[in-house]
Amino acid sequence: MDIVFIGAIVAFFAVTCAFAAACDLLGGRS
Amino acid sequence: MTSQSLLLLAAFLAALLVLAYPLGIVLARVGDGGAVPGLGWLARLERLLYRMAGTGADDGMGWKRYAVALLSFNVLGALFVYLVQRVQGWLPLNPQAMPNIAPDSAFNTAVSFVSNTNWQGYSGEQAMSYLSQALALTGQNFFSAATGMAVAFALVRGFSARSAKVIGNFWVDITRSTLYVLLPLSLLFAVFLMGQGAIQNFSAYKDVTLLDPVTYSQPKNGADGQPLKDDKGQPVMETLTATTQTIAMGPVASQEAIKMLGTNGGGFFNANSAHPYENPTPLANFMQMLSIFLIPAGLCFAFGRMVGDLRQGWAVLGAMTLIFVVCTVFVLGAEQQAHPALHAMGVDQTASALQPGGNMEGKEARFGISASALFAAVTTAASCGAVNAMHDSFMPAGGMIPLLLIQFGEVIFGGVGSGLYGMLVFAIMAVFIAGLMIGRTPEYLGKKIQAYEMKMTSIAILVTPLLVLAGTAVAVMLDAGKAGIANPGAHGFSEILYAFSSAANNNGSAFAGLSANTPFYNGMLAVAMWFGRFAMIVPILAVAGSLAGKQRLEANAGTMPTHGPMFVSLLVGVVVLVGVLNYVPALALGPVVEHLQLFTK
Repeated sequence: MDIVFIGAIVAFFAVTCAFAAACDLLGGRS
Repeated sequence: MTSQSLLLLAAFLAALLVLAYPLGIVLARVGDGGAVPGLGWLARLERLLYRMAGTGADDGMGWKRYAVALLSFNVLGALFVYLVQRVQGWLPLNPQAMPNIAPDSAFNTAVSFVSNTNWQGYSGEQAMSYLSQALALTGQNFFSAATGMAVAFALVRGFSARSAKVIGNFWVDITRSTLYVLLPLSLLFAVFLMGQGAIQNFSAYKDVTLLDPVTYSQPKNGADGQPLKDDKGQPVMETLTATTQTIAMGPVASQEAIKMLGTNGGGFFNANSAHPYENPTPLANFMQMLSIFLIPAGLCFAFGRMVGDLRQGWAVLGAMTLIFVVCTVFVLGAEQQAHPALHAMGVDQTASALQPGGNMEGKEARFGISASALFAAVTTAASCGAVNAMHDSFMPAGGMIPLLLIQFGEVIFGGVGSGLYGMLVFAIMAVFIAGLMIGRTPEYLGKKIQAYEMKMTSIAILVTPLLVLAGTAVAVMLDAGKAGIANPGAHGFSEILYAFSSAANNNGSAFAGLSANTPFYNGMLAVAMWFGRFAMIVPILAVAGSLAGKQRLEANAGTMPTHGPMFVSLLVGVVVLVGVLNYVPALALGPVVEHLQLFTK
C-alpha cells in the first residue's frame, strides 16, 4: 500500500506543478 | 451574553494590539531582508545555512521558480512525515511501543501537517510515538507556517516592487521566518507554558488508581472499528466501569507553542487544548488565544511598513477585526442562551456567581462559556484548529459561526501568512468591483489590477468552495461517507460540511461526531487539504509575479483611497458576500435547519 500513497503525494505535486504551468499560460509574466 | 464575556473580548483585543504592533516591526525586517533587532547574532547561522543550501540572499526568483521551490520543499516534507509514521514502531523515543501508523492514516496526516491544516484523524496519545510527534509533526508545524509567511512576503513584494522580475527567494524567506520569528517565539512560549503546568518529558505513561471507580457510557464499536447503530440509526451505547487511569506523558509544551503560534492546531492529545497538560490554566488559555492571532495581526502591520504606508496595514487589520468582533459576539450570545430542552425540564441555566449558565455541554468547567466561545471564534477565524471545547456540542447557531468563519476563507486574521495573502486577494477583488462602479481601471497600492490578476484572484477565491461543496456532496451521496456520521439528520450533514470546510480551508478543527479515520475520509480530506492550500498559493504567487513587474503609479485625484473607512467597509462587504453566496444553501441544510428544529418545537 505504501507505493500507492507515496505515489499519491507525488501525483499531488505533479498536478499542482501542471496547474502552475496552466496559470502561466493564462498570461502571467515571470 | 454576560459583561464578563465582553470584558474578556475587550482585554483580548487590547493585549493583541499591544503585542502585534512591535512584532510587525520585526516581521517587516524579516520580510525586507534587513537586520532583525535583538537577533543580529543569528545572522552568522543564517549565512551558514545559505552556504550549505547553495543559495544566496540576493538570488531572486521569478514567481514560477518560487512556486516550484515551495512545492518541492513541501512535497519532500510530506514524504518525510509519511515515512516516519510508517516506521515509527522501529524507531527510538517510543516508550509505549506504538505500532506503525496505517498507510491511509499516515497519508492523511502527512498532507494535513504539510498544508498547515493539522486535521487529525488519529488520537495523538494512542497512536503517535514521541519521535513522530516531535520530529515529523512539530517540524512541519514550523515549516508549514514559514511557508505561509513566505507567500505573504512574496505577495507584499509584488505590491511594493517597481518593475521587478523577482518576488524574493523562497529559501531565504523560509529560513528567515523560521529563524527570526517562529523559533524564538516558540521557545519563549514553550517555557511560559511549562511554567503554567504543561508537561515536557519523554517518560512512559503513568498508570494510577482512581480514588473512586467511574462508570460511564460510550458508543460501542463493531469489528470494523465503526460505531454500531440500532434500527433507528442511533448509536448503540455500552456501559463500562474504570478503576485505573493511564496518564499520557510526552514533550507537550514544545509542540503546543508552535501549534498555536503557527496556527497549526494539531494537538499532542486527542482532547487538544481542553487537556490540562496542553492548556493548564485560564492564563495559559488566554495566552494561547493571543498566540494564535499574534503573527497574523503582526503581519498586517508588516504589510503596511513594507508597502511604505502603515495606514494600509491598519485598514486590513480593521476589516479583519470588524468581522471577528461581530462573529464572536454572536457565538458568545448563542452559547449563553438557555437550551430549550433543558429549559422545559425546569433546569436553571441562568449565569450566576455559582454557575456559568447557558450551554455547558462539551465545554471545560475551567474555562466556562466566555473563554470557550471566544477560543472557538479565534481558532476558526484564524486557520488554527486547536479547540478547548467541542464545537459539535455548541448550540446550532453557535456552531454555525465557527463554520462560517472557516468558510470565509480563513482571512479573518487567518493562518500565519495565509490570512494576509487571503485578505489581500479579497482587497484586489474589492478594488476591482469599485473600479467597475466608478468606471476607472482598478488600482491597489499603485499597481493596476488588470485581466490576468483578476483571473488568478478568481481562481484563488473559488478553489476552496469548489473543494468544500463538491467533497460534501460526494460524501453525503456515498455509503462510505454516510457511514461516519454519528448523529443522523441536519447535525450529521453539518459534521460532514464542517469536515470538508475545515480541510479545504486548512483549519483542521473537527465538529467531532464524524468518524473520519477511514480510507474514504482519509483520502477525500487529503485531496481537499492539499489543493485547498497549494492550488490557492500558486495563483497568488502568479499575481505577485505579475504585480512585481508593473510600474508603481503615484496616487492622484482619481485614485480610490484604500486606507479609510469606506474601503474597510467595501472589503468587509466583499468577504461576507462571497462567503455567504458560496455557502448559504449548504448552511441552510445544516445548522439553520437544526436551529429551527430546536426552537420551534
